[in-house]
Amino acid sequence: MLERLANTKLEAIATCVPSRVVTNDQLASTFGEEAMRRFGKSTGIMQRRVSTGQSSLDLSVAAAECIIADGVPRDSIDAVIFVSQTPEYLLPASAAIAQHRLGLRCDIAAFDLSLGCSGYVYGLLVAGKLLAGKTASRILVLVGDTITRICSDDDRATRPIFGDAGSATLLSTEEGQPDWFFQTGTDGSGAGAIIVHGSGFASPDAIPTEETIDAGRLFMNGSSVFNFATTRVPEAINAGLAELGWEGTTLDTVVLHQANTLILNTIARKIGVAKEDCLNVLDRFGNTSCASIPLAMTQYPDRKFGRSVLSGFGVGLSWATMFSDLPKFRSYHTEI
Amino acid sequence: MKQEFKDDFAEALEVDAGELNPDYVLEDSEMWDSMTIVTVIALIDEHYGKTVGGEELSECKTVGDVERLIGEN
Repeated sequence: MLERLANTKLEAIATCVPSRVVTNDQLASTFGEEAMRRFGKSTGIMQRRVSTGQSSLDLSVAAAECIIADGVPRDSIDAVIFVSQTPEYLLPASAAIAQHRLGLRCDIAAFDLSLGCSGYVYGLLVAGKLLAGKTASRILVLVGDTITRICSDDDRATRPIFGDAGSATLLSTEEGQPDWFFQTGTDGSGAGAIIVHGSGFASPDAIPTEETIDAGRLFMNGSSVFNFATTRVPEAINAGLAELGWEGTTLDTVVLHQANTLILNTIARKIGVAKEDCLNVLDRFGNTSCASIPLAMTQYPDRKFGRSVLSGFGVGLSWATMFSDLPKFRSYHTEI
Repeated sequence: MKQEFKDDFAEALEVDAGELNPDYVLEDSEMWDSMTIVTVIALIDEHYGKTVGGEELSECKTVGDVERLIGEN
């Protein structure tokens, strides 16, 4: 059953990436030329942006400043949400730090949401609910991750895949906007498929590791993540499309979490959409976790998004999809 | 084994499709690793509409084992 949100306006999306580029050729010194050739062919990823010390919050705040500089008074923003799994600290919440850095009012809500690749859509849902409940009337949703900072340098299953990015999305209440519809899903039995062991307070045996990976570094089981992404996600999208009476062929824009081209093409096939109609910026940015959907969107600043499906899925395991007719929104992209 | 699947499987292993008889030992291809396993999972899904697990597929020693896994044998 889809969740319906009325009167929500997507005013603007801004994204920010680190200026440092790391190409597949540069990774060949670690992983070998042949392995990187095959990697590029199989995933579509040719280069990625890598933090040289910029945090997820740094990148997302820089993105937010683009929106603010273009005629958004700071005191008009009455909530800020920060979605990330590479926050500034365990505590305090990075959103509180964002409130201060962005010079927002103090009588506002600010909190973090710990989600990865599904995080952007969940961020929109939660922000939309705050708007609908009149907790706020104009919300900044900051969504970003610097996964390269938790990858093991010599882990071929993770290091070449990920890139870093931050984003900011401005939402507000406006009568007459097309409805937004959301699907959400969670399967915690897959928690061990994408995990950083030893990064918190769980007992050591809580979720067993099968592979040898350093504690504090990202572990990802590629084949089980592929199977999850190519079964649960198209199932959920198709159920949503059926409920709305939308055919895959009538969609104007599909923005899937940019995991890798193999996953994107498989999901596209299963939802009846030509792979060319799914935005794909993997070649330039790799997998940027929760920022991947807004990052893909800002690379098409003149696009008429129209009838759109945005779908994020991954760590948790968690997935969420938004179905909506998206009117024009302001779009910005920068690097620091 | 469907010819289209065989062709794509051979391409993933970077061998000639003609070599992929049931006795072909997968490890004889230098390409048989975790990256190729995910590619083959995708191929099986695309050509047969079946989901196979990475662990099951990595336990296959020969092309014949893969055929049995898919249910083609």
